[in-house]
Amino acid sequence: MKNLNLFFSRLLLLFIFAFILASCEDKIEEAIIVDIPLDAFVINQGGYGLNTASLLFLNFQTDEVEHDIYINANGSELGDMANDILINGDKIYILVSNSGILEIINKETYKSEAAINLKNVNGEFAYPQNMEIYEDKIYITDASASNIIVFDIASETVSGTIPTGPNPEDIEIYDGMIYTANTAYGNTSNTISGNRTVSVIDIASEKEIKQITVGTNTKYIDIDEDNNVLYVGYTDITWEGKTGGIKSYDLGTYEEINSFDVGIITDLQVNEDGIYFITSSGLNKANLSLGNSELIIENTAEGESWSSFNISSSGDIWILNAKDYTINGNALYFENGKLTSPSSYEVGIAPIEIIFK
Amino acid sequence: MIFLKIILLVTCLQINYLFASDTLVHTTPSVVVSDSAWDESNEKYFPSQLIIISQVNKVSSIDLSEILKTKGLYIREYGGLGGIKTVSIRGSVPSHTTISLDGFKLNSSQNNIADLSILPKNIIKEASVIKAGASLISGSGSMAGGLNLSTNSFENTSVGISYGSFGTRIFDGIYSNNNFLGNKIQVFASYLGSGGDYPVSFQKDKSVVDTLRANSDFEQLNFSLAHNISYKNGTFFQRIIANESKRGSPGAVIRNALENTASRVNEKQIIYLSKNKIILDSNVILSSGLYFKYLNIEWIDKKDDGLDLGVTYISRDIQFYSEYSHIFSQGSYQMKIFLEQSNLNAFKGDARPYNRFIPSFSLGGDYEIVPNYLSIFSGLRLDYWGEEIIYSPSVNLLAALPLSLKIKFSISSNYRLPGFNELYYPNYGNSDLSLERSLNYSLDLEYKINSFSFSISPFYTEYENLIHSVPKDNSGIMTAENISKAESKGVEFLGGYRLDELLKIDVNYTRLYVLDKSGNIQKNGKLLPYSPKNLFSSSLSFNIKNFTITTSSIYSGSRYFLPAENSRHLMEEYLLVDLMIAYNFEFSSNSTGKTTLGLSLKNIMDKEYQVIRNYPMPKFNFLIFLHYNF
Repeated sequence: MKNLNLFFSRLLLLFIFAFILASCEDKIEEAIIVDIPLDAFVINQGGYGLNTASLLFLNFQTDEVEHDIYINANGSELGDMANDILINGDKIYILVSNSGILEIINKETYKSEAAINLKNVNGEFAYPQNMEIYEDKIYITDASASNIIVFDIASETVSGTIPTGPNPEDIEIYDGMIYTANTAYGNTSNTISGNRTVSVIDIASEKEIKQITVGTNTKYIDIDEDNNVLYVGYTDITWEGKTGGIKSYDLGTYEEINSFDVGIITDLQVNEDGIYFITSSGLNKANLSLGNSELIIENTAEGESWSSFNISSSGDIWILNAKDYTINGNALYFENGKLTSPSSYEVGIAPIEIIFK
Repeated sequence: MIFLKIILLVTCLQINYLFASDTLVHTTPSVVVSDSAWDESNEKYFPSQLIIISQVNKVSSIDLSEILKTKGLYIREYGGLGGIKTVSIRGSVPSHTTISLDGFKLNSSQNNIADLSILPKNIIKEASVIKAGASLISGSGSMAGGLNLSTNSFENTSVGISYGSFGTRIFDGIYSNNNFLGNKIQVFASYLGSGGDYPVSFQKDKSVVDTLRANSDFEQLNFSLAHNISYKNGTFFQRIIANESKRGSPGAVIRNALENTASRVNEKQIIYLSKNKIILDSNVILSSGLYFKYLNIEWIDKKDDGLDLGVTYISRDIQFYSEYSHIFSQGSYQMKIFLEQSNLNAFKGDARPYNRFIPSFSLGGDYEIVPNYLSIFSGLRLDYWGEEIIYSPSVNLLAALPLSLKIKFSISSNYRLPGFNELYYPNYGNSDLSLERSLNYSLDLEYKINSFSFSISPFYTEYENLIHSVPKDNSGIMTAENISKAESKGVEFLGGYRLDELLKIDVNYTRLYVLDKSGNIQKNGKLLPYSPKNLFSSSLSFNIKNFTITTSSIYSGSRYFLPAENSRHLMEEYLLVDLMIAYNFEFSSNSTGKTTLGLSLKNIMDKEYQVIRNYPMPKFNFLIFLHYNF
C-alpha cells in the first residue's frame, strides 16, 4: 500500500511537473510569436538608368535575407527604378517606373505572371509612381501625364485613366475618394494648372472634384481615418534652396487645419498616436495637431540618407537606409518601444519600400 | 576685362616684335615651335608614349578616338558617333586626365572633361601621352596624366570621301602650302554625318527584342585655318578651328525603354591659338602663347509630359603664357607665367555668370648630373586660386645606361580644381569644396635593341580629397563633398617591332588596381567603378607592294559599374578585333598624287559589348574610303 501511495504520489508530482512545464512552453511559444516580426519584402530602386531594380525577401523564420528573388526566379532584370509594391492575395504587384511596367509575380515562387506595359493618356510611355488597391481595381499615379491609370485586377488590363493635377506621385484612398499628391516635379511656375495641389477624386464618377492647394512639390499624403484629417508633406527644392513641411486638412470641408514648417521631409505615415516622418536628422514624430515634434530615432551616420519607413501593427519600426544610393543600403528594425540598437539587414541599392508578407 | 586687355597688349607686342624683325628668313626654321605649352624637351623625363597619327590612320577611321584606342589608350565612350568620348590613363577618371591641343588645355571648367568627339582628326599630327601626374606642365586636372594633340604640320594636301555603316559619310579636304608668300598655311574643311541608328537588343516586357539605337545621329562641320611663319630668330604659329555639331543624345537602354529618344545637343565651338618663339641669343629663348575658346552648348530635352530640361551653356576660356628659357652647357632652366580665365553662363532660371581667374608661375630646369648618363628635371608650379596658393612640385630622373637601357623615375604632386558644376550647380554644388590632390610615383625601364623596343612601367598614385556625390539631406538630391580617397597601382608593358616600313607591331598590356580608399566599410579596398584590372591592345601592320594591311585588337577585362564589388554589378570583358586593307595606286603615269582606296572592318567578331553600363556599342561595322593625296 505504501508503495502504491508512493507510486501515486510520484505520478502526481510528475503530472504537476509536466503541467508546469507545458504551461511554461506555452508561454515561451507565445513570447516567440510576439518577438518575431512579420516577414517582409523590400524593393530597391537601383541606380537611375542602370536597370538594377530588385526585390528581396526578409525571412525572419530563418533570419536570412533572400536577395534578388525576382532575377533568380525569372532570369531577367526587373527593370529601372522600382518605386512601389503591394500584395493582393497570392500576387505581388511592383511598379517599375522608368521601365513603365506593372510587374505581377507569384507571392510564393516569384515567377513573373504578367508585365503590364503602362501607357499614359496620350498613348505614350507612362512613368508610374505609386499605387493603391480598392475593391477590384488598382489605381496608379502616372507622373508622365496628369492622370491616374486604372488597372482591372481580374482581367489584368488597363481599364481607363482619370485626370489629376500635374505629375502625381503619392496616392491614398479613403471613403470612396482618391487623393493624389501633385508634384509638378517641384516646378514653382504659377502658370501650371493645378500646381501645388492635392487632387480629390470621386471613385464612383472617376472625376476630380476638388484641388486642395498645399505647397510647391506636394509629395506625400496620409489620412487619419479616426479624425477625418488629411496630412500632406511638401518638399520645395528649387534653384534658390530648400524648404518644406506638413499641412493638415479637414476632409469634410477641405479647409486647412494646421501647418508645420519642418524642412525637407521624406515619407509620411499617420498613426493613432501621431505623425511620423523622416528628416535629415532621423525619424520624427509630431502630434496630430502638428503643434510640436520630437526626434525619436536619430540618423547618426554622416552622408547616409534614409529613404522610407514602415510601422507595423505591433508598433515595430522599419527604416530603409539608402546610404549614398551607390552601395547596398540596409533595413533597420526597431522592436516596439526599443528605439536604440536596431537589428540591421543588408538590402539593395536605394531601397524604397518595405511591405509585410 | 583688365586681364583681357593685358593679353591683347602682349599679343600685339608679340606680333609687333615678329614683324619688326628686319629680315624675315623664309627658309627652314631655325627653331621648332614646341607642341607643348611647356617645352617638349622635358616630356622625355616623364613616362610617356608618342603616337604618330599616319595618313592611313586618319583616312581609315571615323574619328580621333578610334585611332587612339588602337594605340593603347583606354577611351570611355557611350556608343555611336555622337556619344561623348574621354580618355582614361591608367584607370583614371576622365576628369583626372587633361586633353590639350598644341599644349593648351581643352578640359571644360564646367565639368573638367574634354570631349574627343568634337575634334577633327585630320589636322592632328601626333598625340603625346604623359602617363604620370603632370600638373607641373598642365596645372589643374593632370592628376593621372595628360594627352597633348599637336597640329603643327603643313605637309598634307588631300581630299577624301568615306562611306560606312549606319549611313556614315565623310567628306574632307585639306590644303597645305609650305611657301605661300613665305608663309606656311593650311586650310581644312570636313563634313561628317551619320544616321547612327545601329542595332541593339533590349528586354521588352518579358522577352528580348532587336531594335535600332534611336536618336544616335550625328552631324558635324569643321573648318580650320593654320599659319606658320619663320623668321631669323623665331617662329610664329597660329590656328583657328571652328566647328558646329548637331547630335542626338540617347540615354540608357533599359528594360522596356530606350531613354532620351528626343534629347539633342547642338554645339558651336571656335578655338583660336597662337604660339610665338624667339631666340634672343644662343642661350635664351622667349616663348609665349594665347588661346581662346568659345563654346555654345544647347541641350534640348523636352519630355512627353511637357517637362523642359533644356538648357544652354556658353563658356569662354582664355589662356595665356609667357616663358623664359635659359640654356647652359649641362642643362637649362625655364620660368613661366600662365594666366587662365574661365567664364560660364547658364541659361535656365539662373543667368548668373561664373568666372574663375587662375594666375600661375612655374620654375623648372634640367641638369646633367653625370653627362650622357644621368639627368634630373625638376620644377615647381604655383597656382593662385582664390585665397589659396597651390604647389605642384615634380622631380624626375633619367638614367641612360649601357646596352640601350633607359630608366626614368618620376615623383610629382598634382591637383584638380572643382569644376563650376561641382561648385555652383543649384542644389548640387558646394562652394566650400577644396581641390583634389594626387601623389604620383612612376618608374619606367626602357630597352631598345635593333628593331625591338620594350618598356616596363610600374606606377602608384594616391588620390586624396576626391570630390564625391553624397546625399546632403533626405531629399534624395546629392551634393559634392571632398570625402573620397583612392589609389591606382599597377604595371604597364609596351613592346614594339619595326622592320623599316614593311612591318610594324605594337603591343600594350596594363595590369592595374584602382581602389577605393575612402574608409567606407562597404567600399574600402574595392575596385572603383569602370576600372578593369586588365587592359590589352595590339596592332600589326604590314605593307606588301601597294597594299597596307592592319589588324588591331583591344581587350578590356571585366569591371564593376558601381562601387563595392557586388557581383551583380559586374560588366563583361570584351575583345574587339578590327581589320583594315588599303590599296595605294596612281591614276596615271603622269599623276603626281597617290590614291588610296580601302576598307576598314571594325569589330569583325560582331561582339556585343558596353563600355558604360546600358550604353551598347556598335557591333560589326565598316567604312569604305577613297583618298587622293596631291
